[in-house]
Amino acid sequence: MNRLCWRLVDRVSQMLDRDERDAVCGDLEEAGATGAHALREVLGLVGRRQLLMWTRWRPWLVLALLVVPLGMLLSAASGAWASTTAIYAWLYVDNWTWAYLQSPGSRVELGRHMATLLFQGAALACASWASGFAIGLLSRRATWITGALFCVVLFAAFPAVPRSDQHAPVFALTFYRVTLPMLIRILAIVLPAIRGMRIAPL
Amino acid sequence: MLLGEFEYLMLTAAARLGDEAYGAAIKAEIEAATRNRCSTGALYTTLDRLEEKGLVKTWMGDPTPERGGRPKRMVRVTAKGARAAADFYKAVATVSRGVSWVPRRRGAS
Repeated sequence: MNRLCWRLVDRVSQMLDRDERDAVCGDLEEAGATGAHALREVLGLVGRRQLLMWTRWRPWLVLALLVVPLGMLLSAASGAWASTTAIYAWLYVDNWTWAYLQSPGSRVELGRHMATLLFQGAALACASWASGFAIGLLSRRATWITGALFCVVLFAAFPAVPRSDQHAPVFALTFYRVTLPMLIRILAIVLPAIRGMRIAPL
Repeated sequence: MLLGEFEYLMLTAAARLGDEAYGAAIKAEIEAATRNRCSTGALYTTLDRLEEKGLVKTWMGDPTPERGGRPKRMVRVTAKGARAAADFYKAVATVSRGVSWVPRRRGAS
């Protein structure tokens, strides 16, 4: 338990400047603090540092001009893409027939659909990475909170798949209604956005 | 410029410690004087504020083995900091004149 807490201290203290991290962790080690106590102290400092960021104008500007609009845009785009992907996956996976490969027209159609989906997915991931980079670059050390707020907007702004009666058999399946859209939001948006935020210079 | 009470405690502790003033030592001084826990978060954010106001100067010291090879953040009170602490002390002494916080014994008139 103590080792786990110290590991967490190491992780959490990464949110501090290098000099401050060294000074604080050194103080705690010198004082013989237990892992739980050290974790509480470092969390307290990180929390204060993050809150202090919000007394300045920059994070608020990033929130209003980038986090909310981009989060909503990507939320809507991922919903649309999840819906299209679900419909084609249901058609080609759940209702697979070798006839799709026998007719040249069907083969071309299948290839075209796959290529379109892959291209759209890649475009969504690139847009998410660029959004994350911009948010990270402008938020600087407030990135942890702006990043979390970006995720809140992404998941809360629009339903994971648009409500439609046209494809009721597809969205009657929990996988296509809930699981796939959630996976798409995590894999195509959240992970690239986090990657972009992490490599943005502070 | 009048200090906050915690700022005054930090300046006084740093002044008392002299060349040995750094985060953990200041924290221990404050805890011993106030008999209250002093959080690392309060200590380091206040230290930054004092440095921004020019009341202390801080720098990273040498790494030591008892700290796992990590350096200390050393603190020195500047002349401006000493004046601010003296002003605060004077204000507290002045406002406290004629006031006794020692509880009176029962039966005393």
